[in-house]
Amino acid sequence: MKNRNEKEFLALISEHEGLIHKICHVYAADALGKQDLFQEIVIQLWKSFESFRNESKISTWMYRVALNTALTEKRKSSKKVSLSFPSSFKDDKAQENVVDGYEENLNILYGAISKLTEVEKAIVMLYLDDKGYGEMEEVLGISQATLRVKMNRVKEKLRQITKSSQHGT
Amino acid sequence: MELEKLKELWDNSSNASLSMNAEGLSQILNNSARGPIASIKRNLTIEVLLVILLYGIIIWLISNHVDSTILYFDIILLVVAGILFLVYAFYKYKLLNKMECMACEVKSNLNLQLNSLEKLVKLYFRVGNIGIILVYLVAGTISYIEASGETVPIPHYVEILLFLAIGAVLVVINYHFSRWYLFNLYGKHIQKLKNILYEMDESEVR
Repeated sequence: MKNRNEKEFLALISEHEGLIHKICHVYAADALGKQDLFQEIVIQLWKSFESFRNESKISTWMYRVALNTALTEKRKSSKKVSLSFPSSFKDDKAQENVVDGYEENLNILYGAISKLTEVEKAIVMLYLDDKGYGEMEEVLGISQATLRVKMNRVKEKLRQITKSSQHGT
Repeated sequence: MELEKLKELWDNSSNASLSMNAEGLSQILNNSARGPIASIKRNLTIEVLLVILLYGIIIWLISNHVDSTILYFDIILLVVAGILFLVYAFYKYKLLNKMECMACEVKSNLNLQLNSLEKLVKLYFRVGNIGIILVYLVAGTISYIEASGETVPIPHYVEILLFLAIGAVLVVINYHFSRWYLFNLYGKHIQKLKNILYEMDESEVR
């Protein structure tokens, strides 16, 4: 039973690994921090996997656990499994687009997000992942009306930051 | 950069072929959690083990001094202290088990963690401060009983005043040390949780 559960869980994680990596990329400061956070998120997901009853979407459950972990984590290094992590989220498309500044723009994007507050980071990640206000509310527990107001402020803030980054200021 | 462009960049980054294999993931599942609640649970287990060890040493010492006149008094004290510690450890463990709900909405989980952590810190602070007074008084009483009949070079009232003065200094030092220690241990984390919740609530009222 445990084995079956573990197989299901591992398949689920492999399918949604990108989501966890994005959260690590946004909330951790360095490569070591990303590894730590990745491991902690996977452990917390595993711990709550048995109680997950498909009452909410998988992405909602994963976002809740991952954000709860990232926001409450005390950042310090410890014993860990050595994993190979890509330095950034590169893919085939990225490789093709290196010439026209894909990677540079991606760095600008993550750089801009790093300047936001912890809550704003969570909101903007959900927004960029095309989550509606309903799902954002389900994940964060903030009312939709408030999220709209907050989202407008975050969008403006992001625009300003990316604009100044592109102009090299 | 336009937001639609940012979305496009974000979407592409999620298509990344990341190098995490099933074996690596499976290995992670064998590790234990390192979050703040998991650390406090581990510390509680260490506390319980230390107390068991201490009790073992004390029982061994008592059994080697069976002719002591205060043997029964010592045993009663040990039993009372043991029961009080068990109540404390049980209450703390119960609190820790209710302290987090990782699959709940972020705001409610943060509120839960903040409230429970504040309760835990108050418990630590009170137990630490009341505990030192009790231990000091009990130690004083035992010394008094053991020394009864012996002549001391200072008057009796000076002896009591000295005992109370040292006790007062100890209590003050312990009070400030506990505050400093608990702030270093949990203060920054509590402040971080408060700041995040304040930001969430701040946007609610605007």
